[in-house]
Amino acid sequence: MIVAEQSLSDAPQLDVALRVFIAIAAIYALASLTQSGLAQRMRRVPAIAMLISGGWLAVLTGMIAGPRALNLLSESTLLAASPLVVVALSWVGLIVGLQARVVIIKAVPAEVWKWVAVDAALAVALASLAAWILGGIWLIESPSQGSWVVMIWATLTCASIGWSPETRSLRPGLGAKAHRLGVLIQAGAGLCGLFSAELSAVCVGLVHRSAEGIASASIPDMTIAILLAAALACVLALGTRVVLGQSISDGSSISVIVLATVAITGGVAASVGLSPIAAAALAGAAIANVRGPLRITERILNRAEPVVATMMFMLAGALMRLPDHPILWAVAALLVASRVVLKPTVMRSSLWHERASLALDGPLARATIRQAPLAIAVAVTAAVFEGSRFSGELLGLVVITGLASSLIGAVQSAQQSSAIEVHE
Amino acid sequence: MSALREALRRLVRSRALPTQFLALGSLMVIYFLVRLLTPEHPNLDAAPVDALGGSALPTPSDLMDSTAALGFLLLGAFISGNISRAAGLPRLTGHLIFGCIAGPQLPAALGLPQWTLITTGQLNHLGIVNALAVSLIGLNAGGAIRLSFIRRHGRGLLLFVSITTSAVALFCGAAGWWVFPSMLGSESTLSGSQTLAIAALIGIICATTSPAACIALMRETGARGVMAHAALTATVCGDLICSIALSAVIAFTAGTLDPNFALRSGDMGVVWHLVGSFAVGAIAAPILQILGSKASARPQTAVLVGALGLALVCTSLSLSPLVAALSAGLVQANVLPGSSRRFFEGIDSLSAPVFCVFFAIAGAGIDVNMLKVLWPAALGLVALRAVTSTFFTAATVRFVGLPPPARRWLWTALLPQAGVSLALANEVHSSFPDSSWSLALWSLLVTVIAINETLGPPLMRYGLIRAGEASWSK
Repeated sequence: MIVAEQSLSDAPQLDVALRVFIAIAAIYALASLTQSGLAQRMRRVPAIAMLISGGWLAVLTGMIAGPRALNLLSESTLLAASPLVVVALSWVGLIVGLQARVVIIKAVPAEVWKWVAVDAALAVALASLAAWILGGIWLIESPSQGSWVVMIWATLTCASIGWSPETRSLRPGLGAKAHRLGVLIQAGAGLCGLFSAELSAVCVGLVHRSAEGIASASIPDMTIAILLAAALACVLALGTRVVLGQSISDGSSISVIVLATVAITGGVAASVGLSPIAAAALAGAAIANVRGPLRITERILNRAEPVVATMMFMLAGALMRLPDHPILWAVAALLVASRVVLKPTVMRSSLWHERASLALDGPLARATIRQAPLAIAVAVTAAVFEGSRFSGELLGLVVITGLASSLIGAVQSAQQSSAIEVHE
Repeated sequence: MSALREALRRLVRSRALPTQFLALGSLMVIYFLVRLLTPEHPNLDAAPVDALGGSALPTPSDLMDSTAALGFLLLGAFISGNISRAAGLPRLTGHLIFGCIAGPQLPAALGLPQWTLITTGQLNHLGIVNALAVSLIGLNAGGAIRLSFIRRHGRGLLLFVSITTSAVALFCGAAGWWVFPSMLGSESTLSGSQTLAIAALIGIICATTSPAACIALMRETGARGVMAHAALTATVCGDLICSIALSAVIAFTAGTLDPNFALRSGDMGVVWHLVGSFAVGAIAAPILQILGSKASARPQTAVLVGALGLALVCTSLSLSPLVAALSAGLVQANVLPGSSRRFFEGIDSLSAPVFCVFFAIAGAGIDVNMLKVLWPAALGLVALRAVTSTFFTAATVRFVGLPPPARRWLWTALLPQAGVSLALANEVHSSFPDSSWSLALWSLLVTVIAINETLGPPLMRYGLIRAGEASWSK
């Protein structure tokens, strides 16, 4: 994990434990702060709403507390906390996977499918171009270069595909048209999230180290890992359903089962070198589609969402490195520009036939510019598995793209909102 | 024998059991297969480099695997706890047995190390769960002390608890002094003073009881009479005395037991260890209180942060986390009773997962090879503890001023052992991890605790029924 030049055994265990505790306390305090009444009131200011809803406040805290600033979250602390991070990543995956209920997926309108398909195709094309540019200019020549390019491609595809499902901070208004557009945006984001979660397997799974320390793309290894994760996910889903069914009356028992499922799925995925997000999303999808106490499982998972989200963003801040090479900044600009230009256009053209029932000129018209938060979790996964300047800068690229796109999305939505008010 | 027959009868009749056994078996088989199919992490001959030519550091495989181990222990211990419960035994027995089966010691003792499910390296990374569990146990036990009850029965209760606890500690300590050196075999190099100190540790831990078992049985049976209250207060006060005594013995004899011991020894060290632990607990109480009241939507997270923080701060200051947590719980429940309700509810809901892992880790650590040698001594200590406790309770219970049925059956409440006892045994082991006697002592104590923890609660339930405070139907 991370660029941990100092191994865990070098640092005094107690010092590390105390630092882990400080990190947990900071995450808890920040999560509580963002949920407080004061924060809710301050969300009326668009810039603050963007900071809080997008998790950028937590990213900033992570950067300040991280190894490259105050060093409160030192590299050894982050290394010691990696089992906790795996649990959090698995938690994210499970929440994403639980949305994959066949009944819900069948109810998604055809326009949204078309919209998602076009968006995914464009994201893949754009990520391929960016990976090709970075592979040629940024990376050094080595036997592993092909593997690293694939890893960049997968990470940037996850970052480019989809958009943030959050719409409240954009103050979409109360009309039925705005509400319907908001629902479609969330449905599209959910579908893209599922695709991203599974694609995140490639970010970690494809690259294996040989005894000589050389990274190589091992498709058979990755296939075995994915099959193993899928089989485990199905068995766990069925087992969880059986055990949950017998403990339905006992809230704490259900918490134990959910927590254990999250830890086993993420842990096994991490052990076989697969992304915990991808494995847990598979398990979540399987759980969502077997009959059982799904609601209570979702409620338990959602209760921890603010804490897990804050942790993810803080980690991103602590692990990221600001890009050193100008080409990374150029690629970030390319990705942001493509989001600003392409995302709203694709949305408008895909939903054009429905324009009578949708507020396509309202503030939500710009909502899709903002990068999905899942992209950051995917980039964090790679940095957690292997600490290096490469994974830190790649994460930095994703964070910068996310921040810039959120900022532009929020500003353009606010302008749109003001324009409508003036017009009225 | 009748208790064993009853357990077997329950096991056979329980309809949910086949499913639970199937779930546990499947979990173990699947986890084993996953471990089998997981590719070995290569021992890197050269330092790996990243895509930019810089150094890369993959996360150690043991650390990565510990997440899966945590989930496996949690789910397995939970299901085995259900099986144990269905047999009329405490859940904790199931957790301990599962830990023992899943851990590295049993396969090693059977000569099948390749069947190990959880390795020692993975267990080492789960140490933070122990810190959290000790803190939760202390907070729960401290929260169970009612100063109003102590004020009412004060002098008599104190006399009863002091005499019974001291007698059990003395007799069991004497037995330990006699038996323990011979258990270590001819290679034993214990000096006379070391044997005496170890005997004191054995005596004190044998004198501990289980407030948690008391609370659980009161909830389960709905017992709310004088015996139930007297039992709860006596067990908590007894455990408080034992926790303080153990801390004092460790601090005074640290230099004798292990010259490399890190705690500040000497008189000031002991004073600091005890007074400091109490003070930190008392200071922490209002902070925990605020945390609990501010986090009404997520009390579990507040408890997690507060309890972990208390444990880590105490460890870093060389204080006893258990005593500090006891003190914090006591202050919260008695000085700030109204607003601490949410916090204690949070502890309750967090206890299930934490205790599952805590007891499973304890089970995984039991040295089975050593147990083959230790079991006669463990059984002897259990019998001696039961006899001494029963005799001295009968002799001194009249000081408390209870009515006759409660007076007659109070001894049954002093037999169970569980969390506090295990936490103290862990404290001894973790204070002297490298000493030659430490693992043997820990294994002996854990065996004694496991037996008392299995036999004690059914006996206490029987006592509550006979005292007229509970009925067979519950």
